[in-house]
Amino acid sequence: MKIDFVKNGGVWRELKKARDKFWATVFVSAMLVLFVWNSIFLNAPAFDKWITATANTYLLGVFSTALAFLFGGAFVAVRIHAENKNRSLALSVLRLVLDFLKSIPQIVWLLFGYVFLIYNFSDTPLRYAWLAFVLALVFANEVHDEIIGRINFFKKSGFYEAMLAAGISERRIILRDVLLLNSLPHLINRAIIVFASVVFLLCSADFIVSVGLSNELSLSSLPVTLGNVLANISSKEDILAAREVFANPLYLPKLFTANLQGVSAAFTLVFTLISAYKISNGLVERKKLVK
Amino acid sequence: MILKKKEIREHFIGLAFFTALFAALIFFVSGSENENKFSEIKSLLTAAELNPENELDAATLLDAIKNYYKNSPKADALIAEYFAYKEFLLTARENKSGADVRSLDFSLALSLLGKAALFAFYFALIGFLLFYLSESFALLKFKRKNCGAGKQQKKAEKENAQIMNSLKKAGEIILAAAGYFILFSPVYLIGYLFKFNYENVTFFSYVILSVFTNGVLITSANKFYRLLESESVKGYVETAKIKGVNYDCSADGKITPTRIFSPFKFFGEHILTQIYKSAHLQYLSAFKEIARFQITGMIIVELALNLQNGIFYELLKALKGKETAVAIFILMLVFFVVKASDIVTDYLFLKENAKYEN
Repeated sequence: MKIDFVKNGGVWRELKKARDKFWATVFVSAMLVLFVWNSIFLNAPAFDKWITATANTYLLGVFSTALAFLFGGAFVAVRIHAENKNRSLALSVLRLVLDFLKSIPQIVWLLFGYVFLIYNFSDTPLRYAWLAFVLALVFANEVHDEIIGRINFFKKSGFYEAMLAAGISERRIILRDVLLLNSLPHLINRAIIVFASVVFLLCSADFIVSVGLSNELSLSSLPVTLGNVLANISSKEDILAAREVFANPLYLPKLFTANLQGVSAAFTLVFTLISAYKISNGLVERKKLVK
Repeated sequence: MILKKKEIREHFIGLAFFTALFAALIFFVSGSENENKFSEIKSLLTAAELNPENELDAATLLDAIKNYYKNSPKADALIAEYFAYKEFLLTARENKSGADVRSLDFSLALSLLGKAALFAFYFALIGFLLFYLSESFALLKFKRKNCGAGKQQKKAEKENAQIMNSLKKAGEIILAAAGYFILFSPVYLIGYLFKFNYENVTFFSYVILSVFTNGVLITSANKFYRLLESESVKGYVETAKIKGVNYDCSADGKITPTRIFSPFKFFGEHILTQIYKSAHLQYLSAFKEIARFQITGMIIVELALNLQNGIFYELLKALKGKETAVAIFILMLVFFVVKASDIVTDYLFLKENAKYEN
């Protein structure tokens, strides 16, 4: 079957209408093209390093996001339980904990997490789990606020009270009717935002630690992420070489072959952030999430 | 009156509670820190007047330990402590951070307090700039996407010559892509590209980098744009449109770039004035979240570019040297800055909100 991508619509028209799907397609396609390009032009050790760094960054992003939802959900459960049982002390403690988590900048939490990792279990597989745990704890607040926001929205609309009066359990109302049936796009959007924030923070903290604490640790003991790759002197030189393009535009093709390690690590990181932003915005527009 | 409101009161309760907690932690840690760290090996070295970095002195000390404690675990522990102490001294010298763990005395606390105050000043300045720029850029985008004139202009552009149109579009796409890449780039990439480092970063470049990189400006502008969008579809706007209130963005010259970028945004009788006011009020309350992201961005600028006069450089130094008391003290100062920003934001929001409540 022939699909006319330009005139009669089909997949193209669908993608033009749904900006989130369009950007998800662009992101996956660009990453595939970059993979093929790097496999041809990047030397084997650098290619392996780029693959490992990208996979580690994305996997940590996905696990941390999933864990953040778990922790955020747990905070919501504790809050609702305490509210229903009139446990004002438990509620105050929860508020203080959440407030404290919010009041220290996320990057500081992560730096403390890295330092703890370096001095305690940098050579064990636990280092990945530890980083995911710290990142999840840092972002659990956002998930908590999102879920509470959705629950409060439905509480105001009367729908919630009506279901409670009909004898349906509160757990079922929240999990099924509020979250699963009426808030899935909001939660997906939040997951995209948390994922992008995790990738950004993880790479930044890894960069800072790799440069700032390099005397205290061997870089090979840390999980390799894109931040770690960018902290390498060869990546720095690759990105510095990009300046050459301003003076001599003919250098551009060489940039994508001779300076590929730094350029592809930088591109992967920044393009992931741009794509996440575009996908999130597209989803908000398509599903009309802002009211 | 506003200071007595629940939101502000809760901030002060949190502030008091965590200040007490931080103070207790500092008291507890600073008491034990210096005494415990390498204390045994230090006392042995001092008693025998030996230099830990002299090979002959080291051999003498290690022999003495082995002879005195024989092959007991105590001997192994002391030998391990000696090597850890030697490595610590070596690292400290390489880092030029002084040969010993800094204790949190009055002069250090005062110096850190000064650095925290300077950071708070930068934070406030960058916060204001970010607030102003994010609102302005969001309004510009809102005008381009929603206003009648913008739509007509787009239609007219489409009818222009095809080749010119495609060339223009290609140029726009390249410019937009470059803009996105700069706005979303972590600061260390921009630092590499434009050769920024601790030697050439000035006050001006620090402010510019903190606002325009790390995705801070684009995400905050997007937040305000979403608020404008959500306001623009509310009932009062629809009613106003039906009743013939001005919604054309250029007809009476009210929505000009000068007005959009003015610090005091006012668009006359145009409906955008109301939309802006409502969105602005909500943005004030949401700015707490943005301010936290802004702090994270500023920390990344300071640490990634290795700006050595900053409070977070001190934090990194404290973490390197395992100076727990100093690290906790800095954490407490950062907590104060964040809390102060929360209180100011909530105060401004409640003050603005009170106008409408009355």
